[in-house]
Parts: sequence; structure tokens; C-alpha cells
Amino acid sequence: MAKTYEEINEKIRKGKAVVYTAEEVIDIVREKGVEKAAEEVDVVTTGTFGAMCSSGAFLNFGHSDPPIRMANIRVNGVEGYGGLAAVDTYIGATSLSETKPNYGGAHLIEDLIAGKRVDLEAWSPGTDCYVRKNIRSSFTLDEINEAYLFNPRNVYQNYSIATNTSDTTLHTYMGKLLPRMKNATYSSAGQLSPLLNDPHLDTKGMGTRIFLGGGIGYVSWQGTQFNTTIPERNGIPTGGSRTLALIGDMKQMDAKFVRGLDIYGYGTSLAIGVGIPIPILNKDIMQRAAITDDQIYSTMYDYSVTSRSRPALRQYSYAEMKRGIIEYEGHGIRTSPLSSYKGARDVAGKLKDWIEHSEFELTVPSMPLPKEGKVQPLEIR
Amino acid sequence: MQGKFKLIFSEHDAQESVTYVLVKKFQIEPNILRAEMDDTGGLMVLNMIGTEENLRDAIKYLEDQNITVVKLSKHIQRDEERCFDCGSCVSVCLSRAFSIDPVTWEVNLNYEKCVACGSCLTACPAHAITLIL
Ligand code: SF4
Ligand code: SF4
Repeated sequence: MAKTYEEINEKIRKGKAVVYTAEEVIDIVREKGVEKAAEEVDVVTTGTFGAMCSSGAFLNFGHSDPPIRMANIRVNGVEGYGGLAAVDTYIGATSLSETKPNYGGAHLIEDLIAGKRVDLEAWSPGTDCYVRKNIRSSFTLDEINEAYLFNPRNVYQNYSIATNTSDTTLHTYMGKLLPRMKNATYSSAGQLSPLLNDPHLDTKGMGTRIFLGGGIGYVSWQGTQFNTTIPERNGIPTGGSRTLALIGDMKQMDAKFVRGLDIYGYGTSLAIGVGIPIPILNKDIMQRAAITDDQIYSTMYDYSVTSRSRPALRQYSYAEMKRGIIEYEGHGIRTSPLSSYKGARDVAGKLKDWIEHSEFELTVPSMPLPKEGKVQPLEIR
Repeated sequence: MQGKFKLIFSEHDAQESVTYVLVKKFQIEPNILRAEMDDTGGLMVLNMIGTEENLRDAIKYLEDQNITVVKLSKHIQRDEERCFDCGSCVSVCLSRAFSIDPVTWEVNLNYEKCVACGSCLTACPAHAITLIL
């Protein structure tokens, strides 16, 4: 028996929707079978809370008197893009502060969401209509006009496992990798992860309403490097594949779900909690939303190889990774997750709470995401 | 009784006999957790097990040898507000001071196991860990 978005929303409005997190629903499907579960369950919530470098904020500062057409912009020493209209800017998570050590766009985004006051400095050549040539001021999130995150690539569908076969420690975006394969790191939330529970994005598209950083956000496009060519195991890609571009109002966000990171030897990045609801429209969707860690595999790569195509060493399931130690050619390798599974649970739990309390309705995507996509290399010509 | 101590040597040769004396003279069970030595001296992090009296006497003996003895306790500190339980620190700590609770998925820190090597400092992207020596 199939359901529609509208039927589910009707139940949400009445406070009668049956909602489980992607983790809780595993047992429901095991106990009741997929047919019965598909009838009973209306929504499954997913979550992830990890570093997503391709994130940033659009800000509009408002006009000073006399006004300025900002060309060169620094907020807490972090460069904002000066190629938009007079007082619009975009600040990326990995942009480093010129004045504050270990501080970047990601920290600035966290500070703003936490309600902190930040310093603004901007310069301009001056024009007949914008005579001011420089400005120094400060602001809080409440005092500026629009402020929204627009993240071109978030919630990677699966991601590599990293290890290091060399004799020296490596500091990478995949964390600290000890020499001679003494550890391995992974970053996906596995069975709770948004795109692993709906691997072909049957219920996602432009306009899908989501949880973003503690507020409400939307899927706005496919993410950059959207890739559908990765080989699958149990219907799930075994490495980084699909991605989403997300948008959301910073003024609704909660600093608990937004964290500026400084990855040693790499730079800054933004950890952000993202949760996406899955409407259980039919039993196939139910089946896929009940995926377990032992069915989701990822591929381990040697990060000491610096060329684009690193050698694949082996595949492991997330159930194996989460045990804390994996075996490779007779040796034990200790593992570290890089994204917070506890945070992912909090996100999925909070989204479940909103839906149960009629505070969050599902949206029908206004356009599906591409069925195909591949990643092209940049050739040096 | 047992305790963890940091011994700072100003001369290279002083350290060689230390553990021998601790065992022979003070019936202490020493366990070297970390040692860094060069020509100008160095440091050693040592776990010592023995009676209260023997430990006290042993420390006095070490200090008489011009060795600085610092008792270590909670020298690693974690800012619980900054930590978001990502787990990046877990696999770089060879003494397994960090562990992930398999039920709650919180990252726990067992101060007793820490040997103050500092490896986790560069693994934590939230800058939640500080080492006080
Ligand atoms: S300093 Fe950090 S890595 Fe080293 S033993 Fe202590 S907790 Fe572990
Ligand atoms: S790496 Fe830092 S933030 Fe992550 S769990 Fe360890 S202490 Fe917490």
C-alpha cells in the first residue's frame, strides 16, 4: 500500500505521524517485516554531523551613511568575497583569518550563530554613488539583513577510508594518519547517514526541506562533484558519490550543531549537523531506509600517495569500522570516525521531534536530482 | 599505592640507574611510559607502584639526585564544550586513553591511561584538548 506526501503531511499536522530515526527503524523492520513496517511508518529521519569544507555564508551588511561599495572585505580578519553588489558578500568555511590564528570562515560562521559580535573592515576605490572608501565597524547576526548558509557540497554519500603506508605521520583532511598503517579514519555516519538511506535519491530533489545546523533548510541543487559511477555493494556506492547543495537561514541555527574546525596541517572546515527526512511512500523506500552498517561498504585508500588516483587497498563495512579495529593482511589497524555519530543521532532525534510535534512538514521535490553524474578531472594543458 | 610521575634529568647519565635503584632499594615497581633523552638530559614519564612510605622515600632519593619529580594527574584536559565527540583523537592515542562508548557514542577520556605524549593535540580539529605539563 503506497502513501503520498500529502497523506503523511496530514498525519504530521494532526500529530499522528509515526516517525523513527534511521537507526531505530532497523529493529522495526526486522520485527515486523518490510511490508508491515512500510504501512506503519510514515517518516524515517537521518542525520550526520561532520566536517563539510564546501560550506559558506552569504551576508548582507546593510548600508552605512555615506554608503560604500565594498570591494575588499574582512570579517574578524577573514576575507569575504568582494565581487558582488555593494554590501553583499560570501564567506567560505576554509578562508583563513589574517589576524586570528587557527581561525577561519568556519569559526566566523559558528561565532555569528552563537550570537557573538564580530569585526568588519572594508575598503573600496569609491564611486560617485558610493563615495566612502573604507569602513570599520562591528555587528552581530541580528543586526545584519540576510544571512544564510549556501553550501555547494554537503552530505557526501559515503566517503573513503584513509590510511598511511609511509614512514611519517601525515596531517590530512582525513585527520592525523600515523605511519605504517597504525590507524585508519572514516567519516560517514553509515546507517544514519542521509544519502545512504535513500541511495538513488528517490525522495530527494530541489526544494526538499531539511534540518540544517539546527534550523530549517532546503536542498537547492545537486552538490558539486555529484557522481553516480562508483561501484555498488548491496545497492550502495562503495565510496564518495552523490552530494547535495544546501541552503538555510543562519538566524534560525543553533551553535550546538555548527562547529568551526581547525584541522592540523590542513586548515579550517565547518562541521555542521544535517538531517534529511525520508517519507516512507512504499516498501522499497522502507527497505532502503532500514539499511544497516554491515551492508554499507567503503574503500580504504593510501593517503601517502599524493597523486589523484590513490591505490585502493581493501573494502570494509561500517560495522567493521565502528568496532574500533580492522584487520589488514594479518595486522590490526585502529580506527577513528571523523564525524560525530553521537551528533548524527542528536540531529536525527531532533528532526524526529519536530515532525512528531507538527513543527516540520515534508515537501514534494520541485525537480528530481540528476540520475547520472560523473566527475571530470582538471587536465593540465 | 601507585602514581604517575614526570622525571626531569639535567644530566644524561643520571637516568640509567634510576629504575634499578627504585626496584632494589625501594621495592618499587616502575613502568616507563615515555622517555626522551639526549646529551643534555631529558624526561621520563614513569608509573610507580609501591607502599606509601617507599614511594615517599623514593621521590626524596630522586630529588637528592638532582632529578625534578612532578606528579602527574589530569595533565591532559578536555574542554567538554568544544568537544563534539567526533572521535578523531581515538586511534592516534597509543595508550588508549580515549575510547568510544559503544552505546552512547560519546568519546570518553581515561586520565589514568594518558602518558602525556601529546599525540592527540594535533588530532583534535575542535582544539578541545590541552596538555598541561
Ligand atoms: S597525550 Fe593524548 S594521545 Fe598521548 S597518551 Fe595522553 S591522551 Fe593519549
Ligand atoms: S578529537 Fe577533539 S572534538 Fe573530537 S572527540 Fe576527540 S577531543 Fe572531542
